[in-house]
Amino acid sequence: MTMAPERTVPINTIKITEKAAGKVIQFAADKGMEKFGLKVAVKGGGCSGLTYVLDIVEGAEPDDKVIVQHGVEVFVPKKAFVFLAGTVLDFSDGLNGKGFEFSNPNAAKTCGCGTSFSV
Amino acid sequence: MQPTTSLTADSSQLGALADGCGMFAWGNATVVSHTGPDALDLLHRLATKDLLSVEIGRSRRTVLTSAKGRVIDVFLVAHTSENELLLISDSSNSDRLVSAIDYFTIIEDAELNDRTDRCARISLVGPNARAVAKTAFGSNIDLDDVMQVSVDGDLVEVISDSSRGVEWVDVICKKASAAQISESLAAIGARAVDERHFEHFRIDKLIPGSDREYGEHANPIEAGLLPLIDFDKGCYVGQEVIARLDAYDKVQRNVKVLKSLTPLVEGTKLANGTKPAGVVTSASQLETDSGEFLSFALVRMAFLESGIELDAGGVTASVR
Repeated sequence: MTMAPERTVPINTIKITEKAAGKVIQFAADKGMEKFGLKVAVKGGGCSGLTYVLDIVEGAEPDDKVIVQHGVEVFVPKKAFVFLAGTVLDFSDGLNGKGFEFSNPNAAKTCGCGTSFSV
Repeated sequence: MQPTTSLTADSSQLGALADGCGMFAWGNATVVSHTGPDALDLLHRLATKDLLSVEIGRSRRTVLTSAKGRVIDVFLVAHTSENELLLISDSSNSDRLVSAIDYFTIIEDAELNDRTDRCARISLVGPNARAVAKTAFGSNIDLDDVMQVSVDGDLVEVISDSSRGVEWVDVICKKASAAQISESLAAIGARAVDERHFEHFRIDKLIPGSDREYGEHANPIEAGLLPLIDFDKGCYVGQEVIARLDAYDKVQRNVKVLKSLTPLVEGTKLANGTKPAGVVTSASQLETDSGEFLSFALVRMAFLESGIELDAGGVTASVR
């Protein structure tokens, strides 16, 4: 029997899937970074008002919330966390893949291209 | 709604706006400092105009819309110096602009400082506006230029705004300095204009007004703000809705000037026979030389043609 993947994420954290974590590790290795983490944030802009930010960085900022999953440190600025709590970050590849994908329970509406959302 | 008392227009005030330099002192208009290395980039991502190309010493007017494509505010972005912007809006409610930008300021290094209560705004309007500003402040001001000058030790910001369809220069100064600056401007040819005449001129020249033609009740295209939208700049808040309205010709109304023999009342619904035809958004109480009164209205697309007669609460008005 195949179980549906667990999508419920505690509201006080965000989740990165094993596949997404693997991609982050691969991208960091490609960039020759030994010490790295994944910055996940939100900035103003985009059709729906709030746009996701993803970046591989060397370390956390003083105000970042740090979450470690599947060997990857995820850094989330505290002001952005309110928009991201409970989010699952996945990665889809192949011909129809979209790359990193956010499943954000706070997003009431997303734009056509999926890069921005409103709460 | 305003009472419908008619007054005769003062030709010297309207003449100054049309042929010389009128000077209008705003009772309360939004003036906000927006500072920090991310301020311009943030506004570029939020608003309808390409702002990244606005260099220091230049200005550009833009629209902030909601995700549903409705107008939150229309404001002039003056790039006064490195990492410093001055935002000027015709709205008397500065909190609307400040809270909207603040909501979207998350990881950006940018700060808002509402100067509305401390600042006075004087608009020089008319073909001689920039010439008067040059004489008053001692330096040439090209279209969309931003100039910072010191008057008796106080900073005065002088900003040209080419987006209105008429020559327009905004002077931002301390409230305490406003009377003296107005006197100096009057001494070199600027004619003081009261609110009634300024409104009349605004309607006549199809200049949309805050909380009249535009606001949460209207999208920027129907409100006559099309020149303030860059359709090729990429994403901004509300872009998807506005692009769809434009691409699929889904705009339902447009701003038009109406003429009538008695003054109209703002908020009056328009009808053509039994069909709803729009709403009066601004109404001048000043009688023109030809014995008519001008109003601004959001008119449904079927009734935009010049000469069409509409009923405005029992008064016949024709589309100009």
